[in-house]
Amino acid sequence: MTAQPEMMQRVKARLGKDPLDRSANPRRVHRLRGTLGTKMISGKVLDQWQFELSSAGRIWYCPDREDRVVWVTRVNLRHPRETE
Amino acid sequence: MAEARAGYAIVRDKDGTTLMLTPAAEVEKLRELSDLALGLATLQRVLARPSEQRATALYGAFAWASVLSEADQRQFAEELADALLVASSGASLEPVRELVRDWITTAEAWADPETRDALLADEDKPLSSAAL
Repeated sequence: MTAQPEMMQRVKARLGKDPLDRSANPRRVHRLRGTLGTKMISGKVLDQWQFELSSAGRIWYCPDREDRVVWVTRVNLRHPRETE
Repeated sequence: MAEARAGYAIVRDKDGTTLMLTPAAEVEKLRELSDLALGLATLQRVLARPSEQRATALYGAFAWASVLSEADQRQFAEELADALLVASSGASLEPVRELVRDWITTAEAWADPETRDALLADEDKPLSSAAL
């Protein structure tokens, strides 16, 4: 994260403001489906989302609407397909 | 033209050919709907086969779905069928596009073992806050 401080600040602002909003760029915000669609965090089942940081980077997060918290569950600055 | 803008208008050419005037957006929507329905039919046909007989190429336009688990492939097919039924009743196609994009994203995450394991793991210990 320290390698991309400006980008991470933008992401923090974006996710902090409205983590479920797809309207600004529907192709960069996705709700995972099926088995990966939810994740248990501290006893709560939360929906799991992905935000495309860049063409290669991805961040996964679980918004807790009740507590108004966004849990970042994984950050990958290199897209998995690059390794294939 | 007013009729065509409102839905469609039938005109007849000098040689008797019947032509239909309709907004291009409607035709594009029907084409997209048709492509998606064809993709769903292909997916349902491949899901009827035993899993060991499902080559990726048989999945057609939804080849990316082949990496998903059996349960997730079936869930995708069901959700897509539901979304297409709603869209074909005159609703927007955007929810269908959104659904497909979500599932493509899910398949990409599922295909990467490290990401899949991380996203599947439950966090039963309290997470700590961290400054980004």
